[in-house]
Amino acid sequence: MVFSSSPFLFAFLTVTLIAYFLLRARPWRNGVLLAASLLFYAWGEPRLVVFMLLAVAVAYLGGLLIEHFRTARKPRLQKLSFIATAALLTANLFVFKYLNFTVDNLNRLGLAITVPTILMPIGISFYTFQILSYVIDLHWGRVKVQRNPFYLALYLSFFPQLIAGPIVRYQTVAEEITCRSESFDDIVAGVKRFIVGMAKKVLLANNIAAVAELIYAGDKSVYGTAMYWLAAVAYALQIYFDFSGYSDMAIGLGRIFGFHFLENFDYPYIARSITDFWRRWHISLSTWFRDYIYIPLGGNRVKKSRWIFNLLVVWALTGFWHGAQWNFIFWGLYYGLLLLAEKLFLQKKLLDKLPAALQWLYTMLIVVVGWVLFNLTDFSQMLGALRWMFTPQPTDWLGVFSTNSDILFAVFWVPLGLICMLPLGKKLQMRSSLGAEALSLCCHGLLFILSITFIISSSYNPFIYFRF
Amino acid sequence: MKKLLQSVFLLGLLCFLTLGLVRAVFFPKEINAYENRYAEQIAPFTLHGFADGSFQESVENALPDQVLLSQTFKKAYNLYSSNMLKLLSGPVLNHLPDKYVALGDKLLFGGENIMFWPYSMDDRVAALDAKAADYNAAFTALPDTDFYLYFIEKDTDINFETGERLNAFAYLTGQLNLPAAHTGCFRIESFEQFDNWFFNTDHHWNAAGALEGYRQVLAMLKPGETPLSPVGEVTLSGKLTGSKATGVLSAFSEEMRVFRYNYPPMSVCINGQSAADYGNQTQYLAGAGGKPSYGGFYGGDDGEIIFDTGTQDRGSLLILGESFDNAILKLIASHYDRTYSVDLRYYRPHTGMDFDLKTYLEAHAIDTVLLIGNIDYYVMNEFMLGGADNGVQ
Repeated sequence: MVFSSSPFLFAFLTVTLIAYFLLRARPWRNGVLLAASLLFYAWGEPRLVVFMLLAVAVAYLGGLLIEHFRTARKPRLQKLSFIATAALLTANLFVFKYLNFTVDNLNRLGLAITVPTILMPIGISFYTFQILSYVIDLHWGRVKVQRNPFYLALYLSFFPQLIAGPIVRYQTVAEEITCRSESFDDIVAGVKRFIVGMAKKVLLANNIAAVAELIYAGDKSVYGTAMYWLAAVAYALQIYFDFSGYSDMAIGLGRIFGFHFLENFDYPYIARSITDFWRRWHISLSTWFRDYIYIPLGGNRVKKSRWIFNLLVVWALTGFWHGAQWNFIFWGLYYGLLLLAEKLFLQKKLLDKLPAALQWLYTMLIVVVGWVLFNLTDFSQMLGALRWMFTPQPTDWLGVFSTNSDILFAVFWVPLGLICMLPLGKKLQMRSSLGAEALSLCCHGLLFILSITFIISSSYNPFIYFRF
Repeated sequence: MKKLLQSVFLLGLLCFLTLGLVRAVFFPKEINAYENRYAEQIAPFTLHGFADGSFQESVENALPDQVLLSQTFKKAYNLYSSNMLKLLSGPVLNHLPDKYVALGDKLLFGGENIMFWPYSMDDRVAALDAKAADYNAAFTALPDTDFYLYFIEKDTDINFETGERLNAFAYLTGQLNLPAAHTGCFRIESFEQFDNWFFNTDHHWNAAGALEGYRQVLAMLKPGETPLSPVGEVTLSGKLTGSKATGVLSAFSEEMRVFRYNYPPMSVCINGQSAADYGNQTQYLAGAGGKPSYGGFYGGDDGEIIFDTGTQDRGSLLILGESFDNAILKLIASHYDRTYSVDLRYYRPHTGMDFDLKTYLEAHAIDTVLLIGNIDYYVMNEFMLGGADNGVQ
């Protein structure tokens, strides 16, 4: 079930909200959220909900063991419990997401291993990283053990962030699970945030989506260099509004129920360097890798060669997290190398001396090309697209539009997307008079009606990040 | 005050969502009037249905049909997308007057003509073969009946970009045991001809096309007989948004120009009921017909229509056709004592009786049968004369 769908809005969310706010006691409210979350997950994959609950059970029992051995002052057993728990959770992710890919590659090297094709549970990458954050932080003593398995299940399965993030760490919501207050202001802010996210997804991402989809599926002789750049830019906008829209909806929903998730995006397309970009894009993932992989590996407080190794490992893993395909690994390494270059010499010797506009242009060029690597899993198609982007080829504009008007239609949304990627709304939110609030409510109401109109009437509504 | 505004906003959203759910669950609509089909409904909940996903699928399909204002939302969406498409595609269309331009799932040619994709003969050969066998069986079983066949070409029969033709008429009549003089074709030779004879937004022929078709049919049925001529031309008030202008092209519309005829007096009986007239030509020409439409002006698809001019010596004719003949039924009926029009798709639903060709011809003393329609008529099973079922084998 996706947030921007009529079953979610008219059935699931409505019933959940009514049931939740009719009950007063915290345990009952948490019960409603847990039941709703399990139903939300089971809606799309009834059988695979078992694997998520198994992950909860492993983390719960592992957490109790870690805590037990810590209290008993048996650090070796504590460490062993931690490693075993983390390994089991990681193995679960590996089997569902990476086993087929690994076996395929081993077989290419001459082995003949056969494994059945495994269906990947939705959101497994997100919920595995979330539960790992609990286990790791518990082992490090940053959080207290959760002795109530239902609360741990609620943390992991909480439907706003369950299947496409943001990756909410246990320590962010540990207190709010048992002790939170749902204020009127939070509910209003949460609803507004949800509507903005829905509009980003439904109005911008879905409408822009056709550009890249049709161009990459089309005839190269018609689509020249300009169209391939248009496709790359359109995909950059699509994935941003798709994913940040989902994050907005998740953060808004969490806030309605009294949870305060950390931000996941901070206008990444105004970044002036790759380092800056990754401080603004999918923040919950990059900080997860920083805190749980990069720093434990030694971060930058090691020898230069080791630091380079650490950085490349983290970025290869970041790419691999997105999917069991080589293009994602290359995409991660592409950023790893660029970040390395920026940190070693590019930032100080060149970028800092450039005007802001050129810094931005440099960043966007790299990001847009990066999305081509990310989007096209077929290497020959990816290389073909890149070649077309950098070797001038004419575009038969009339041919393009006469064979498929959907591109024409979608292209109309691209300029709007370019405007909406800027932090204009952030400035508008600064005012807080009665008139400004009335205007704000009208705008949100209009966005809601427009989004509902598109949800009910159009059929294209996937979420890119669901596959991760 | 601020809190009051916010409360109204939140309550409004919650009420809208809740009422949508209540409507879908407890008071579901049966008909989706806007899309002219049965409305999807939520299936009863069962564990099995939930496990295999069919319950979820029913919810996903039903809600867009059932929630409050769903049809208004769909209309608004189509209006927006259609107008946007029209606006954006204008410059492209102007540069491509002789190319098909794809708009959504539709085609445009020559600027404003909504087109069907040209058909492929490969996909229709088997159906045409079956139809030829069916007709030949009827011709053999009813040797005393004069059969005539008239084939109406439309945009599916010719690719205006390449000039490639379907030639389904030649293929079909090449297999029929029917004299050449008993067959005729409303042949489309060029886009200009098509543009003159067909609506831009509707799949039917326009007044000029229908007049040409009527003349050709009459020349085939009664060579030498003088056809009726129009006594005036009128542009109906309001715009025609025809059958092709749906979905993303619903903003496309056109003027509907019609001819005024002095029909001879005739009584009309539709599906067994006496009727004042077939169609609403008089009302429309008097400016009281409402929004123009092909079926509204000429008459709709009925199982059986009987025209009786009261004359005694001009014979009886059975027309087995589809909606294209609606525009010329009264014109052709003007030349016969009695004209029977049967649309095999609707005969049983409208009259409650099975259609048996042999029995029908005998019961009404009919000796002439006209088969008339476009390519779809000649490939659809619904228009089979029916072999044994219709008493012809």
